[in-house]
Amino acid sequence: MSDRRAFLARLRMLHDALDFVAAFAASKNLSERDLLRLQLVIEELFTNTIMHGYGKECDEPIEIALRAAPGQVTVQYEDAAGPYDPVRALADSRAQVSAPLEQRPVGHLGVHVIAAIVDDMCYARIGGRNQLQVLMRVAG
Amino acid sequence: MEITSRVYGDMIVVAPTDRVDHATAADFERVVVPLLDAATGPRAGLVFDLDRVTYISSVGLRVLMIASKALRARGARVAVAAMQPMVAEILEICRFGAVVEIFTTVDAALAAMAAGVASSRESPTQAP
Repeated sequence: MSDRRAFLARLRMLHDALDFVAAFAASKNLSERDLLRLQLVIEELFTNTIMHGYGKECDEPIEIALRAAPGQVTVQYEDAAGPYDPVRALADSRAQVSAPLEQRPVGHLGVHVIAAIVDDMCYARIGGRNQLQVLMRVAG
Repeated sequence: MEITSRVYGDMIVVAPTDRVDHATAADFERVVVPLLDAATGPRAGLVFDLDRVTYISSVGLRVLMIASKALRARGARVAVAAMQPMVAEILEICRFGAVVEIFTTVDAALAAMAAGVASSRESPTQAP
């Protein structure tokens, strides 16, 4: 069974999404570090969807499902924005973090934060929606 | 989030607390940006005291990046100190060792800036 909730693509809803993550983490006895990792992933995905996916705050949906199994947490993240593959975006921007300071962009770090935290990421475009499945190994 | 700043000669220490995320990054930026012009002088530098920061997302990293680009372009130094493990992990993965100098304590950062020496993390004698 997974915990699933839908949120509107607004920054104040991000606060609710992070609370949703915190409640899930508490119910599964995740460590403080794993809670922070999970919240970071959700924050980066959520803000990417608002800023880049939908391009603005709006009442379009973001759906998050969380599932815990021994030693891992799975996140299924879905939005109805235009096609955006974070796995591809990460591959395309890997060179940027190694560039000299003057050439590094000020932003575009979100995908790197996500990739740093998760152990596996899988993207699919289905029925006009971006679907991302993320796997995070957790302590205990 | 509370943000305090303290001045030590040409050097400024900024200390945010708790989370530097989408809810607080605008406040963080509002405090930091004016300080970029204030950090002047031959030993000018800005130190981010992250001892009480538990969480930083990419919006927070963006503010560090803005500070670094502005200060380094003028020959001033920028450092982070006293990072908690999770924050250190995030900065490491985003290769921020090339963006800011990294110190374990604020005192070490200020001492290095005052003496004009590099961060110990950059020392070639550091064990792998």
